[in-house]
Amino acid sequence: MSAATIRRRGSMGRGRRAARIALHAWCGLVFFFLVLPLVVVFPISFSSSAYLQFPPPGYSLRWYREFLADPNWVDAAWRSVLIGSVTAVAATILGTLLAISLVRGTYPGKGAVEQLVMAPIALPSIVYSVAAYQLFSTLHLVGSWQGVAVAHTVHALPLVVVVVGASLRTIDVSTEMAAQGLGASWFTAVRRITLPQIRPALVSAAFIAFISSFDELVIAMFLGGINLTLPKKMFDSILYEIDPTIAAVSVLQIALVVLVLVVIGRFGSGVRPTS
Amino acid sequence: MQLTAATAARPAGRRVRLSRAGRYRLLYAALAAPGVLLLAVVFVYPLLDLMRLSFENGSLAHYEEVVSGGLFGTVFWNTVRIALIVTIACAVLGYPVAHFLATASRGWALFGLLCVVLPFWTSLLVRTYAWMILLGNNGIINKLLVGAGLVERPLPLLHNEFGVLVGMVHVLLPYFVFPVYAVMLRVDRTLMAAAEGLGAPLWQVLRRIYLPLTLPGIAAGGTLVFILSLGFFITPALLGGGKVMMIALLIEQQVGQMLNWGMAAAMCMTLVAAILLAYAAFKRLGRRNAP
Amino acid sequence: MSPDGGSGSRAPILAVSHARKTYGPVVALEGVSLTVGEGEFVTLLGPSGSGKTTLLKAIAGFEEIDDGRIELAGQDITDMPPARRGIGMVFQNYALFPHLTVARNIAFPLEMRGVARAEIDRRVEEILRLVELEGYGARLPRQLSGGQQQRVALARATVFNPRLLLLDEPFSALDRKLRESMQVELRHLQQRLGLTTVFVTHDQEEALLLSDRIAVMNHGRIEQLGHPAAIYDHPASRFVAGFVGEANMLRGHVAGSRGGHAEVALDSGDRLAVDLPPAARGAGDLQLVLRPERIRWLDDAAQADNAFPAVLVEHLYLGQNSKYRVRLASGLELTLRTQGEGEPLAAGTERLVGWDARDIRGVPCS
Repeated sequence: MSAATIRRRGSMGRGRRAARIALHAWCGLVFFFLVLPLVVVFPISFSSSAYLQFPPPGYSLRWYREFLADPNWVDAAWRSVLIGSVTAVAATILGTLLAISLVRGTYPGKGAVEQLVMAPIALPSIVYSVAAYQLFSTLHLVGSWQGVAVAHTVHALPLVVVVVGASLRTIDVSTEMAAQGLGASWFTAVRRITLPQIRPALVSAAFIAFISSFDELVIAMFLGGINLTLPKKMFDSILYEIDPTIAAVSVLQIALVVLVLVVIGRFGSGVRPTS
Repeated sequence: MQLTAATAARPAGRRVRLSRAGRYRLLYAALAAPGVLLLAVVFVYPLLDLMRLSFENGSLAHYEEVVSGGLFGTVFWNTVRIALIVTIACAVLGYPVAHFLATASRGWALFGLLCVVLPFWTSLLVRTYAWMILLGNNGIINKLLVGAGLVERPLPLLHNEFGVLVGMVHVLLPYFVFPVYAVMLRVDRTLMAAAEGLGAPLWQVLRRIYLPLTLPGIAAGGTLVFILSLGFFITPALLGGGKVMMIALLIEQQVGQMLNWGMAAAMCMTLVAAILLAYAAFKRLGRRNAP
Repeated sequence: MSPDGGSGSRAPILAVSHARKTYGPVVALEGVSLTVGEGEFVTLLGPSGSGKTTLLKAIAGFEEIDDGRIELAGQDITDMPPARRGIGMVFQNYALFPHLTVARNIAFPLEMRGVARAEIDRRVEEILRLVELEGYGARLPRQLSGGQQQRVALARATVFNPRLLLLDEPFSALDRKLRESMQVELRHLQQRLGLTTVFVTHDQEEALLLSDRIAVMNHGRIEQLGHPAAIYDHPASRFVAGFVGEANMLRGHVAGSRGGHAEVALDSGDRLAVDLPPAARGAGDLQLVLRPERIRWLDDAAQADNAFPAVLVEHLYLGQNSKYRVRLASGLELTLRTQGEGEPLAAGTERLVGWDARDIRGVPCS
């Protein structure tokens, strides 16, 4: 290698290194920005003070006790878990059927169905809430948890279809064919061969649907009436009575998400299709 | 005799055969039916009803009121302006992050993904609340700044547009990073190496090759962030402290305080129209500049 | 022996008659008829797009034919769903169920038939032994090599004693060495179990090696159906001659007779002695096929019915054999193949080449 090439490589390396350092510094700042809010709620939730003080003057579990002792908080939390679970089950079942239909089927109007299914993603919750209110009040669903679950299912449906559809596209269609050739009916082939292969996606989709409902405020605010969900209760308490209870709730909620992510990792890391 | 039987049986067999292909088509269409039915009843119908409501008595009165009132126009353009700032901020912050995630070593990429995914999965209210703790007059940031003697009085970070922007960017950044990251993963690295081998400086490689190749991701992420920004409610409601008006807040006011459903419906329709327009515009932009 | 080398004394298991299939304007099958006898190994050979895979899928039930009839063991299965046909199929990519173990993969068709658990276990064990995969039952398909996966696919397709076994280019993903040993294994297994087999491939060597009969397909038709030797030695068309093995294609017309043979004048001007069936003697234009291995180097023109001085254009060394391109005085170029290393000849060398009248075949002119 000549001296000239070495020199040129050296200078190029320096320029590149400077760019790399700048990139890493920038990303470090952005990561800090992203994680910062999650980090601050932890110490505050363990504060012994009655006010939002940082750093807290002392540490205690009083705000967790406060949360668990207040039936308003606990009721709201259970209601949200209930609505989220129903949403997750309903959206995963309906969304998986839709995904199979859209990925595997060929029928007139399929494009229109696809657009219809995706539409709720782009529609702001506020618009949907105002629209649904009329219908739901006619059906006497306003103020019931069932009504909120139905509306949440509509919002979660496109998320399920995207996740399950993407997974369906990666698995080998000929396995379904092979199963039928070996004596399985279409239904048996789907149940025993196709669905187990996309199980990680089904688990993820159910989780995403659950979180999308569990975290949803606007629809629940409009359609939930006096039956507060956890986000609505948090919203009210942030607006009117800032105290560290909400930080304790936040930590519990983060913990729940992490727990479910771990569960997903456990069940989601199952079999992947051979390439 | 046998031949006749076979020939006679054929047309009948053919009919059954044709319907077998048709049966599958029908089966797959039928699988979509429950979901489509649900959407038709609790999604399409309410929206059509809302549209009818906005044209109450077949008149454009609500729309005239929306336009002439002045308030809606101000709030509308304010919302669009905020959405644009948020979109640009997400692009500036998110593009290098997506690149980092796509190119870093396994461990660092995992760490970075965790930093993006964890907030994404965390409750919006939790994050908004955390920003209130951070940005308030007695918040952590102001205490640090005052304590360090950098400022004399707390900076106004909360209950203004700045606070809303910070909160919105924090919520929407992952929506920009993911699509760009997905596109970057598919970019052929050898292309860039080849360009550098040909003597192009880093900046030129970025501008002439990397940026155009990743533009579909930028367009997708940007569209998503902009459209979601237009309908934001929680963040401006809490971090704006009533001083930052966005369309979603205005609609909620019309319904919650004024009980003016007709006006709210007209505003909703205008917002939907704006979203469709933005979607179409971004789509064209993405297609025209696609490599 | 019938000219198409029909299923002979064996009872026909599969009978396809006048099968037709179109995809819009594209004709995939144009009135294909085929019978396969019990225990027979029939290969559908053809280039991609010839309709061989469509025919296989129609037999399996994954494609519906627009017209025609498919019978299996005397029963009309044209409209029967694949699950009820009782046909075993090995897919090109094997289509093993990635989430099930090898044993569960193989057990699947038995489970679908309601076979008792103990019986399933016994038969799975037995077939695993047969394909030499004992002890692999608990593994997942992705933990196996390509050749092992292929054997699992074969075991799964045969464990339920199917009436017919279909194989869709099963060796195309394997490297040459593995492919050759798997071909032999397949043939042994097929003969041992007496499996009636329809095999699809585009590899003519594979077809010649494995098959009892070959159906050469082109443009949705069967161009020729017969024993491998018949296909190779008596190609029924220019396409078959060119697709199965190498061939020098010559054109000419009958110009008289010479020493009990027909004399053919080639378009190049050369005159050849050719054994022609009496029916072809009067015909006008003739298409002649001359296999490269039939041409020999001669020391003396009397050693063959046809002898020509030739100039060597090119010598290709291929290991077990050698290939030469030579040019006759008329300008006609021929390919010649010899066994063994062959003589190292320099381009431009002049030699005498020749072949006998019976070495050359006439095929219908097209």
